[in-house]
Amino acid sequence: MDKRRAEVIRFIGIGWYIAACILLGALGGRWIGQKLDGRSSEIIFTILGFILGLIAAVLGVYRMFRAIENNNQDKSRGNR
Amino acid sequence: MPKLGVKSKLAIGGIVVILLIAIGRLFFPVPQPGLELAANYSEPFYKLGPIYITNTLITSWIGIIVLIGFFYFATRKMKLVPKGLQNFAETIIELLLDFVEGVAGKENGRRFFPVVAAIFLYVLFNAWLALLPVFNFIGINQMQADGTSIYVPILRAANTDMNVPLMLALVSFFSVEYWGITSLGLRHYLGKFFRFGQLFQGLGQLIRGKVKSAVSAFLYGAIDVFVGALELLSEFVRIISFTFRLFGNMTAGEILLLMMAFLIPWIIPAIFYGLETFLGFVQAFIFAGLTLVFATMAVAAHESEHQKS
Repeated sequence: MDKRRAEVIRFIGIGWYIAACILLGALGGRWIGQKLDGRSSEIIFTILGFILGLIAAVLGVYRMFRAIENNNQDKSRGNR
Repeated sequence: MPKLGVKSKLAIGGIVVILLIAIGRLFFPVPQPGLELAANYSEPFYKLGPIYITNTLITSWIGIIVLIGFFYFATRKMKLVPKGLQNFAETIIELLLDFVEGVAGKENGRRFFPVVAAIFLYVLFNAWLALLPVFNFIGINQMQADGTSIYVPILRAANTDMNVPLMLALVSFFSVEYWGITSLGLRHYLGKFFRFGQLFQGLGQLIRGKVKSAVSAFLYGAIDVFVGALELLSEFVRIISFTFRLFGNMTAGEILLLMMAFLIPWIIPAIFYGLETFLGFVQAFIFAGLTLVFATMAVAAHESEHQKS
């Protein structure tokens, strides 16, 4: 049961990671755009930040899943 | 811990929901969402020659970039035994190819596959992209000519813009017609819609003086012409039904999400996000599946019908 719970918490963490990456990227982009003044720079930087956040989220999730996969494989080998 | 009955569990659930509503409304008020059906563009950043850059257009560009990027990285280092990203991409493509070939057959399936798969993946990616937290949430207030200001989100789901479903419907329509004409020949294909064969037969019999059979031929000929006209109409009605099905479903989903986030900001919207994830898949599947079915019907020779009658 505890193992399952740890796994669930891990997956919830991945969800939070995706949301945080994308939001921080977009909000950061918007902040930079506002500093640079001009509305079009605000929009462009928000979109750029969003895309960067998206890339970071995808890469991070990919790595996390790889780590989980490797972990499971090690465990199943150990059980044998 | 004492075991709880179903009733008390339900009661506890209800109390928790009411508490969530109360806490959310008191301490974390969400502004009432305003949603416009027309796609908006933000003022200084809206024209590229004759094209208006709307927020939905930007989203669809991002969707295209994501799709191209995904398949570029998946197919960059192709191996015979796929691993990682290539494996994932191949799974998707193989599932789609199996589905297409299952409906249309091996030979036609290969012909239809690129368009059907592109429609499926494009609708799906656009629907799922719109569930990310930035959408509808970061925006700017824009002054209008009459002095009021409206809230314009920087990114909005592409499928909620009427133009995107219309574009996909037109692509689907022209592809289906093209496949029908190329595999049956123009004359044969148009013969599906303009069925004057029996009418002319009746005319011939009338000239030869066989009045009785001429009358029945005229009757069946009139029915045939009517059926052909209906087929022709249904061909064009498809564009409208395709457009409004996708547009309506996606817009309703967006409104549902915004309203749930406004009413109960905590936890409950997550359920509806799950629902929308499923709905995006279903809509993409319906759009691609219907295109596939119509294409299969268009290339099917209808000789057997005539031979029967």
